[in-house]
Amino acid sequence: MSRKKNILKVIILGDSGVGKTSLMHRYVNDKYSQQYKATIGADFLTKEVVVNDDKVATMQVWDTAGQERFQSLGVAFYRGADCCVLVYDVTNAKSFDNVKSWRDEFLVHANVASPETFPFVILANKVDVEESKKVVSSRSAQELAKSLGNVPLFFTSAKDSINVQDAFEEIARSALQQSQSDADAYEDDLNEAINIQLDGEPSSCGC
Amino acid sequence: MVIRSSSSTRIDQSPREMFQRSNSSSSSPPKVGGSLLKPWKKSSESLSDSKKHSTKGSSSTHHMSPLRNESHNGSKTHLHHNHITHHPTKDKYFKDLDEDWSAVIDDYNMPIPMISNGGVETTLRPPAVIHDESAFESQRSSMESYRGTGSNLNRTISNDLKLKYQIEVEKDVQELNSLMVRIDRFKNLTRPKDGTTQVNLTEIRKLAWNGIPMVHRPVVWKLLIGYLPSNLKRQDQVLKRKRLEFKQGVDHIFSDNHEKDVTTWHQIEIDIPRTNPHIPLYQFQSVHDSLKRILYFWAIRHPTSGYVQGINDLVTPFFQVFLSEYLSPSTKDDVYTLDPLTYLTAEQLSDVEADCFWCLSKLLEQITDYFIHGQPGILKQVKNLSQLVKRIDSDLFSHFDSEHVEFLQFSVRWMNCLLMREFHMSMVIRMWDTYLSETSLETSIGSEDLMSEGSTSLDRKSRSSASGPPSSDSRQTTLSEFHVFVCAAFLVKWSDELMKMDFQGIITFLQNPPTKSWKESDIEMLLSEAYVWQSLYKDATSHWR
Repeated sequence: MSRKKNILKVIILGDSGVGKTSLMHRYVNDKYSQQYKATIGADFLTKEVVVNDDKVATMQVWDTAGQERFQSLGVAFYRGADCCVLVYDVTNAKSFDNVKSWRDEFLVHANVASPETFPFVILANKVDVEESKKVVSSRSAQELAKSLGNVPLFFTSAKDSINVQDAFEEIARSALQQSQSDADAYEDDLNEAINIQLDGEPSSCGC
Repeated sequence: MVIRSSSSTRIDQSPREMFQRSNSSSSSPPKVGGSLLKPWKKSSESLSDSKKHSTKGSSSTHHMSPLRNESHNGSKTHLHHNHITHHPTKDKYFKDLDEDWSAVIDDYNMPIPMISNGGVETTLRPPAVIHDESAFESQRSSMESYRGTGSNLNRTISNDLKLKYQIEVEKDVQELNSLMVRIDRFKNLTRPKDGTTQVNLTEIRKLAWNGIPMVHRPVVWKLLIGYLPSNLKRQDQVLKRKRLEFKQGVDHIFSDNHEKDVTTWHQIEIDIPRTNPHIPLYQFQSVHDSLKRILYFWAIRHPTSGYVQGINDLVTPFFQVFLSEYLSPSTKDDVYTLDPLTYLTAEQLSDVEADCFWCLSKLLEQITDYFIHGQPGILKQVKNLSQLVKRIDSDLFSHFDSEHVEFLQFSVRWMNCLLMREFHMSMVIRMWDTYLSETSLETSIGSEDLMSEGSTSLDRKSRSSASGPPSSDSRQTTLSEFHVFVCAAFLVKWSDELMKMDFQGIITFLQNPPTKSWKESDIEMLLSEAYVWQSLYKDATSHWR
């Protein structure tokens, strides 16, 4: 409420080729293409969202480059995020193993106020592929989500538009909550600062 | 290279013609004092929108130069330009003006650059093309009657149209002539008839900076980047050896004796299908296989950097230019759509791959620090860009600042892919004519030449000075440095639009700048602008190196 306009900053992280760009485009434009180039730096899209049926906000989605080499540059995009989306590819075990590293990497560099409560969402992408190609079981995914602090988990397909809208609605809710708690914390800070000053006054007068 | 008749193309010709005129009387290399800004000036006039100058608040009168360079306190310089097509009528007029610059100012009060205030070098970079004197004369005489006096402006429209048509025909003829002359000049330079065994790299650089005819591009690129030795007698031998070395290397890394670097291989494998997905050429399996061989071999040979996303983009201009060498002049554009194996033998394709590999190595050698751990080169370039924009367009810089737009948010890709993602491939290739002409001397002379027989340090030294880049002055410029100026020119091109946008608008715009309809002339304008900025700021940026 202290913000003139609700802006929800969402960042998508995950290994190269897991479908970050495709998920973002599916959500924002409801489109899928085989022709996305590898993301360099970060891509940016926005969408107006209505959260909890009443709150209007603009979601700014940053879709980052997946190759490890880009991590040092990717850090610039982490700051100020309200929600971090971790994506892996159900056909790529390594991308699943790296989910935790991406989360840790984010927490190290994003400088969030309270890492314990910062909202993450995990997307297990490419569930449209045939079963034989899937190498990450739903159970291990659920275990991971639980171990990371009951992180919401969605099994998605950007290609077939499975669960993408639901996932991003959850992302928007988490982000809004985070952004409001940040704003409250900011106001608390202000009040505290004022209080300290007031508290200090008598003693300074007493000198 | 196509002869076009669109007005924008022709407008762009005017800078060149300007040089042609300046040099037509002399056969010596171009050295035209103070004329650096003239080509810019002319085009800038065609492009300037005086209204925008005043609304931007940076130029209150029309006498003000668009290229202001105030002293350090509040130093601020603006170069404004709008798209050519905004003022078709003015363009028509200006593009055919002769060299009487004062007349331009008197007639139109258009802003002109103040040549004295920029510390601009007088060395001329864009090369002269032998000018067809008679065509020029007839054009000038028709222009003079067209300009005429005040009363002449009241002529009937039909007369005007007739004249315009006449001028256009003359321009077409002139363009065709100019192109033929250019093709001939490249031919003479790459295959000198006078018995000399050494190609004149300095001349080639000068000429190539302004664009290379398609038929000569493959050879000229290889010369510019230092893959093909400038000693004609050694060219065949070097090519043969390098191609063999590549073939053997590839055979080795794809044999059982080589333990595959799984991470690198996976990264390349997932990036190849995402390389130029909109160009049919890159959908063929044969091309996927070629690119995999080139990139993986490059990655294995350069372990400090390894394969980094974006390198897959950077290899493709080489790939299709070198493929085009095997197509007849009239079918060169088919390179975009044909499977190379329909016109190449497997051995020829391997030669193309080898050429790509070595040229890619030469290119990346100049920007190694872009891709090593932490990508310090890119961080540095982004910082340089922001500092440069702060000086060139402080209004835009402040606006970005107040909107919390960071340069890292939009320019990482510009650096990592040398702006390739922002333009169509044909535009990128034209851009690379200039970029490769900016190849640093160490790269371009190359070990091949330095090791050539009888080469002493003295030879080396004298060759260095002889082969300096067209702007050869107290210090060398580099491709990397020039690129920052191109990025700056690219950014400030949209300054007026960006000033009206908020954070979201700015980032969205810069993610997808409106360059789809860009023509070669637009790219050339961008490069010229970058060159002017570089000339103006070279002292300020010497610490970059």
